[in-house]
Amino acid sequence: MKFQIVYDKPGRIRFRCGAYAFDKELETAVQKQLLESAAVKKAEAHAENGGILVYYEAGARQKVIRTVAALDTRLLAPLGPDTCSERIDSDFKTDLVKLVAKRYLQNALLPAPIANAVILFKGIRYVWRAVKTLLEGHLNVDVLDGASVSACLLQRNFKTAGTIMFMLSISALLEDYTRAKTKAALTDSLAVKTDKVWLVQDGTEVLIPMAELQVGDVICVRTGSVIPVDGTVTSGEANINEASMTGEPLSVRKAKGSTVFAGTVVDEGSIHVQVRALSGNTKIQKIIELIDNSENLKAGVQSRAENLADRIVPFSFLGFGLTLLLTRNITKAVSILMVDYSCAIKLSTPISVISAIREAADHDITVKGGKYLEAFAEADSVVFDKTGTLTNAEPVLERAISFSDYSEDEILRIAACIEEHFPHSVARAIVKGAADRGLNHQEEHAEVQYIVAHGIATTLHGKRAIIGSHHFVSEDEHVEITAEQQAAIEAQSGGCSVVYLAIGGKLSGVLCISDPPRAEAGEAIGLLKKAGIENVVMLTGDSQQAAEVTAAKLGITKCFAQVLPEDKHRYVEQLKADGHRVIMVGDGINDAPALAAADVSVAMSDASDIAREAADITLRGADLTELATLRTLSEKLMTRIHRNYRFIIGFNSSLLLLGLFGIIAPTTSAFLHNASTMAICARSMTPMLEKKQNSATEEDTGKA
Amino acid sequence: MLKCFKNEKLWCVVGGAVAMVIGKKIVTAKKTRQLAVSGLAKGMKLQNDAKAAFQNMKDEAQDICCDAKEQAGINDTDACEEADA
Repeated sequence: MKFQIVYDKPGRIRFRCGAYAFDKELETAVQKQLLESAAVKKAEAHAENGGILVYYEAGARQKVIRTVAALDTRLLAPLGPDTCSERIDSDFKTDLVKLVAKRYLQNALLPAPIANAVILFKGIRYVWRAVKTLLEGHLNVDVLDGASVSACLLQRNFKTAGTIMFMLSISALLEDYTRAKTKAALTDSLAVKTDKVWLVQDGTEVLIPMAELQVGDVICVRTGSVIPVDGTVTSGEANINEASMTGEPLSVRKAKGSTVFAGTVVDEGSIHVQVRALSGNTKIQKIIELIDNSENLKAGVQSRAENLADRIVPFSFLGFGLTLLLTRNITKAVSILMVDYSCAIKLSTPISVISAIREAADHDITVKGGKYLEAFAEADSVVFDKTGTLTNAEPVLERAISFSDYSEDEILRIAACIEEHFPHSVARAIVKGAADRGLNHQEEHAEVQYIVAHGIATTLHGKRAIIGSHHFVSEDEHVEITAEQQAAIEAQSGGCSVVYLAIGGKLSGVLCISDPPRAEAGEAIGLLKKAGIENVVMLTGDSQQAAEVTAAKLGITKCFAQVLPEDKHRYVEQLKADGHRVIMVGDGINDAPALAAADVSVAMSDASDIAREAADITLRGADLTELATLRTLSEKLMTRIHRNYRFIIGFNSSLLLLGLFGIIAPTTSAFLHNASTMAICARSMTPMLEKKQNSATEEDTGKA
Repeated sequence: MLKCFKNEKLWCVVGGAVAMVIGKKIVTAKKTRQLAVSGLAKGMKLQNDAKAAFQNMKDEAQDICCDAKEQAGINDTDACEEADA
């Protein structure tokens, strides 16, 4: 690209490529292209004069010049809907200046008859819109606007009609601006941090944001995860569920060389995928559109406010009619039409909600709709799944107990030898426990058979060896566990989960596995209780003893032990039937039904993709105390909405009365009404919580 | 017969019809179209030039502001970024 350097100081350089160098739609793409260079700290592009301003790292001037010279706008594509915050600001300023300038130039230059004709022409558009709305059977704010404009026009009061229309245009412009600005802020917050992938780099795995992924990179996808990109399998084997693409419910086996598609799910196994095509930010856009448009996702308070706002309109007309009848003064009557509650309520409520969602995003919490914040504020019970939610799902081997001739080390060695073939967290704990104790093993068993959610079976030295849960070993495989053995296990396991190993139909030993709670779990539960959540319930598949130990440690009010995965949702439904408003916090594939059953559900950062899809709220950080932050935020949001509501009713009612008694003119009334609406919207955009002190996050946002 | 020629309204009608025919000819004439297109193009170009000139002014004002901050000793890149924002 040809350019001229018009400003050049260390760290800041401005290029000018001339008008028509690139289109307005390519501004964001140019900025993004420049930001990809490590030397560029910040970039701005303006299509009007082809200006490019770059802030760069010390000593990188030549590199920046080369980058700008290498820009080829023919290769750039517009980046979809424009959500750049700065662009929205500058467009708003331009439009506002245009609007004001047009009005004053018209007033100053046009002779009265022509100016009146212009006002009449503009006014007809408002009247026509009002008539159209009436014909469609609605009585809303459009009809109010149309009525006030036509009343002034009929009175031949063109000046007032002009002022009213000017106010309405400014109000519409501000409305669009605030909406666009709030949405852009939300997109920014989500785009930086939503999805992350495990990048395979020199044999190690690094967690990186999706946005940094390049075509040709290799990523690792494990059981329960959605494949985020189209690509080719480079190593590993997995059963892939392609139902989202093909509708085929059965999984397909994929190995090296197979093609996999974005949106399909790894049912079992682990694969490395070389990226062929990226899916972009479409998912984020979809979430934002959903939040903005879907009636189902709107907070109940928002829908109620909007309905109420529309229901007030007929009363405005009634007020207009009565005033006209009693005072015979159309100016006073028009004052009534100038004030409506609906636009302030309709505008400030969604802005408050979207701002709160954005603020949650800044705290690494993704909320999929306003109604979930409302439900979170109203909840009185929280149900936690234990493993992976209250714990890190990183079980640790505590000890091995032998009930046979094998020593405890041998029991551990055999178990590790069998378990190492499966990437299950308990299996990893056993293998790691053996490795930590320096127990090496050789493959002595035949092919292993994995029985989903139960255990593993194989043949060891000609005997059937099984390892798994009590249910699997004792009931499915009919291995006898004597009362003495059971007593010894209970005495020695100390509240740990127990994995049973049986060889040749006899119990050979058990392995005690503990899953320590997250460091902040106790504090998080304490904070939730303080915030008014009375019932804290824990669901776990562990034994009653193990569950009670954890519950006592964390301050949990009620725990249900030995819960089967498929039964979790029943406990949630029971709580709801008892009249509680329930938050469910989970992470696993088997939590999805319980998450769906709750009033509001939360998935942890490392949750399976299925749980994250099912959940209404996702924590992107691993910190459970964010639940308490979310509670505070949701409560503050409700307070803000109700306070706004009271202010709007109070202030506008005063305007109505002042207009009614002729103390203020319709134009003053319109000005104060619009000004108060905008003030309340601006107030609704302000943060409710203290900003999260997270330097990494702020850097990310700055770069975006 | 002659009387009707003295009727003012008749002449208005005739005049209006003639004006319409001539007006249509003018509006649909190739030359008029060319004039209108070139006029519009000039207007659009003027608008673009005005936008470019306005943006140049804005850029230069930002640069001056940034330099002033630097001279006052309060400038660093961050301060300039704030000024530009």
